[in-house]
Amino acid sequence: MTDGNGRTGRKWPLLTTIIALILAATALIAGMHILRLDRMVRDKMTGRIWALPAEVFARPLELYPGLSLDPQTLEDELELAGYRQEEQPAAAGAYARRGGSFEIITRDFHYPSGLERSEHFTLVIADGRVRDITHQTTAEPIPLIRIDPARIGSFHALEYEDRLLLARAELPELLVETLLAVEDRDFHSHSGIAPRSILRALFANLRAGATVQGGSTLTQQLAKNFFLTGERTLTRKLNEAVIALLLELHFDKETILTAYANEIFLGQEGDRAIHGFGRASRFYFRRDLADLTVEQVALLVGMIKGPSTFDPRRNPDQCLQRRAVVLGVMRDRNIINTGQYQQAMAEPLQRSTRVMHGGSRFPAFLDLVRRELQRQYREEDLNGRGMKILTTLDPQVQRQVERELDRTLKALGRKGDELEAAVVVTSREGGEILALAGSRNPVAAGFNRALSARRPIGSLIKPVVYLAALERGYTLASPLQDAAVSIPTANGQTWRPQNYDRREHGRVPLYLALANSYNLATVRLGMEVGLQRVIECAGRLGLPGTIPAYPSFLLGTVELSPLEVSQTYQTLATGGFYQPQRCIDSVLGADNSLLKRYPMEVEQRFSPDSIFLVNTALQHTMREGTARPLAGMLSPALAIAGKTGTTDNLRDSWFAGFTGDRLAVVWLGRDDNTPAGITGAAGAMVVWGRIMQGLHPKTLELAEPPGIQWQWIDRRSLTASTRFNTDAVALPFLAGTAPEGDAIHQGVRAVEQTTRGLIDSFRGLFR
Amino acid sequence: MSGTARSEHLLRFSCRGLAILLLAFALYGCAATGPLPPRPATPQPAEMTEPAETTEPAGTTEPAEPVTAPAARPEGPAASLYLQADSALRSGDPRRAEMLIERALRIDPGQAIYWHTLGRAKYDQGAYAQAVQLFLKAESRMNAGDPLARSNRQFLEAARSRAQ
Repeated sequence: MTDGNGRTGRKWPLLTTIIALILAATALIAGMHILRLDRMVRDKMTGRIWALPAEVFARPLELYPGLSLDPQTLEDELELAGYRQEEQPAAAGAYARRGGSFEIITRDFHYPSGLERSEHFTLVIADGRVRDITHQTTAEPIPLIRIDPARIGSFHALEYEDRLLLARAELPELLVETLLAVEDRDFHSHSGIAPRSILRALFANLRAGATVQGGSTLTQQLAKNFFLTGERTLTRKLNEAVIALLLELHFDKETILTAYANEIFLGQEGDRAIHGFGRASRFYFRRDLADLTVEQVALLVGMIKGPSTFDPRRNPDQCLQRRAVVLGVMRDRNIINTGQYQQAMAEPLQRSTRVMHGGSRFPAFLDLVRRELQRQYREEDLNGRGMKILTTLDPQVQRQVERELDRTLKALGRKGDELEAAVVVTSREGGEILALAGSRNPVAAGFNRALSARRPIGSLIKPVVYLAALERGYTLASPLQDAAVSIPTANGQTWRPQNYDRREHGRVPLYLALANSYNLATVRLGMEVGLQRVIECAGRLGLPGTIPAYPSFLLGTVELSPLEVSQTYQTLATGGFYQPQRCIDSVLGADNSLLKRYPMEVEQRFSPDSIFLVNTALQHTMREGTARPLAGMLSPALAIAGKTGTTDNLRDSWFAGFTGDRLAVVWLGRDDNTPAGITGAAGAMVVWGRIMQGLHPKTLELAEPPGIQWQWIDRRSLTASTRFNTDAVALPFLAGTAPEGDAIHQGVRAVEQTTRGLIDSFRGLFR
Repeated sequence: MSGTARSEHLLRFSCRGLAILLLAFALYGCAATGPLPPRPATPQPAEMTEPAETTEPAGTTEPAEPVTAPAARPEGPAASLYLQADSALRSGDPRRAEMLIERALRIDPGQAIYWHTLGRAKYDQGAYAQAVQLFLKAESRMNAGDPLARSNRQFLEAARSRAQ
C-alpha cells in the first residue's frame, strides 16, 4: 500500500536495508561463532581427548618358596592389583582361594626387562610361609614368580579424571553393536543430528512441560560431554547441534565412535571421574573390555543414561532393571540369541561386578613420585603421553603403616588425638621407599609432612657425633664424662645443656652414652672431636644443606624432614654406603619402551669398621638404652639398631631404626610446634615397633669387617674382663684398640680359651 | 718368670692337669654370665662350581682385564635370576644383566655375588666409577676366605684404574 507521496516506496528499501544489515550482522556473528566452535572442535579432537594419563604402579609382588606370607596378605595384594576371585579361574587376572592354597592366573605385563607373559599356577601357603609354587598344568615347581603390580594412581591433564585410552580396533563389536542399538540406531546414516529424533523429543518434552526425552545422536552426546557444559538451555542445544555437524564434517564415523567410547562418563569414585568404557570395565569388573560378558556389556551401555542412577554399587535394583532393558534390545536386534539373553538375565549383579576401589589411595607416596618426575619431565609429557611409572611402593608395608599409625595414636589417648605424624619405610640395603605416610590419616591428601615438615631432630643426630669420634680413633669403651658443661656462644652467652633426666652420670663408656642418649657426654665428645668434623661427617651421611657450626647442633637443633632423616640413616643401615633413596624404579612409554631407569647406586663414604662400631652401639640402645621398651614388642634376638629422639619441651617425638630388611623413621608432633608432650620412646618408637611387628622383620646381621676383635669389657672399670663377670659386656674393637686387662683377667681368659677348646673337642666326638 | 706370667702358667697348669673336664663342662655350660650380643653372622659365600671356568680376557688393553669369577651355583630365592644375569653378561648384554641382578638384589640383598655381578654389569657398560663402588659393596658383604674375593679385588682394581 502506498500514499500519493510515494513514502512507502522510500520506506521499503530502508527496511530492507535494516533487515539485510541485521541478517548480515547475525550471519557474521554466527559465522564467527561457528568458526570459533570449529577451531575448538578441531583442537580438542586432535589433542586433549587422546591425552593418556601416566599410570603409576606399585612394586610387583615376588613369590618364592620360603617367603614369609600369610594367605590374607596375598589375597589383599591380589585384590589391590585388581584380580577377581572366581571359583574356577579361566582368564588372566583371576584367582581362586581354597584355604591356604591359591590358583592364580597373572596378566601379561611389560617390565623394563621386557614382556612377561601370563602364568597359571598354584601356590600353597603353610605355617606363614610359601611352601611351594607349581605350574597349574604341568605341576612343575616354579622357583620364583611375580604378580603384575597394582595400579595405584594416575596423573592426567584433566585433573581427577581417569581413563584408559582404547583404539577403535580394541572396542569389541558386541559393545559397539549394543551401544548403537541403544543410543543411536541411525549413527552410520545421519550427519551429526537426527531431526526426526529431535522433533520426537521436542513434542514429548512440550507435552510433559519438562525435558523428559533426549533425541541426541552419539555425535551430539560427544559434543555435549566433551565440548559443552551440562546446562539445558536452547543456546547450548544449538551449540551442540553445530558442534555435532562440525564433528561429522571433519572426522569420520569411526573416529567419532572411538572418541565417544573413550570419553563417555560412566561413574564417580570420590573425586575421581571414571571416563570411557576401558577404564569403566576395569573399575566395575576388573576385566579388560575385550573380556566382558554379555550382561557386563549390557550393564555398561545401560549406565550411559544415568551413571549415578544406574550405578551397581548404589542402586543395584535400578541397575538390574536397566540392564534387562538393554539385554532386551540386544535380543530384539539379534545381537544376542535367546539363550544368551536368558543366561545373561539370570546372572546376579553381585557375581558380575567386582568394583575396584583404591584409585590414588596413597596420596603421600604419589606426591613424592610426582615431585621426582617433575624434575625430569615437562608437565604435558607427564600428563598426556601415557607413561607407565613403576614405583617401589610395597602395599603390604603401606597398609601396615596406615593401620598401626591410626591404631597406636588412638591408643595413646588424648595426647595421641592431638598429634600429627609422618612415617617413611625403606628397604635397608636397596634404599627403596616402600611406604610413606604424610599425616596421621595417610589416605587423605594434604600437607605431606614426610617430605615437607622440617623439624629439629633432637637425639637422632647423636649417632653422627659418635661416628665422627669412632673415625678419630675412639672405641666403644672409651670413657666419656657425662658431667655439666658450659660452652660460650658467639653472642657472648653461655650454653649449658642438660640431660633429659637432669642428672649427671659421671664416667660412662662411649657406647652406653649413645645408647642412653646422654646429652652432656655427647656435647663433650662432639666438642673434643670438633664441630666441623661432626658436621662434615653429617654431610657424608647424607644430611642436606649447609649446617651452621653451633654447638647446639650436637643435640639436634638441625631441622630435617622425616625423609631427610631417613636418607641420613640409610647410610648407616647400608654399612657406610651412601645410597640415594628411590621411589621410582623405571618409566616406560605408552608403547612399553623403556624411557628411564632409576638404577641402584652406591657410594662408600665410611670405612666399614667405624660404621660397624656405631651400628653395634645402636643395637645396644635397644638392649640397655632408651629403646629398651621396644623389647616388649619385638624380640631382642632381632638385634635391631635404632635411636630415639625428643626435642625441647617434648615438641617432637622421633624414632629411627633398622631391622635386617627395613629402615623406618617415625615422627610425631604438632603442626603448630607446641609441645606434643611425648618422648621419642613413648610415642614414635611405639608406632615404629607396632609397624615392624606386623612385617615379620628379619634379624639384623651387621656385616663384620675383617680384623674386628670382640672383647669383654667391665662396665665400671672399662677394662678388659671375661664372660664370667656378670657386669661385663662384649664389644667389638678394631685390631689393637681393645683395652688391656690385668694379669688375673688375662689368666681367666686363658682358662676360658682352653676350656672352650676342650669343649669343642668334646663336642667333636659326638658329631 | 714374672709374677704375671707365673700366675698365668699356674692357671694353665691347673686347668689342664685337673682334667676336671666333665665338671668344667658342666660349670661352663651352666655359667650365668652377661648376655653375649649376637655375633653378626657374615653372609655365606656362594658355592662355586668345579672345575673353575674362566672366560678369556677380552682384548689385552691397558689395564689388563680381570679374571672373571668362576660360574657360581648360588642358593636362595633369587638364584635363578643370578644365573640369568650371569648368562646375559657372558653373552655381552650387560644392560639386561643389570636389570636381572637388581631384581635379585631386591629379593636377597645379602649375597656378595649379586653385588659383584651388578658391578660387572656396570663395568661392562663402561660405568667404571659406579663399578668400583659396587665391588666395594660386594667386598663389604664377604667373609674372610670368600672364593669370590680375589676376582672381585681384580675387578675392583681394574675398574679403579679405568675410572681415573
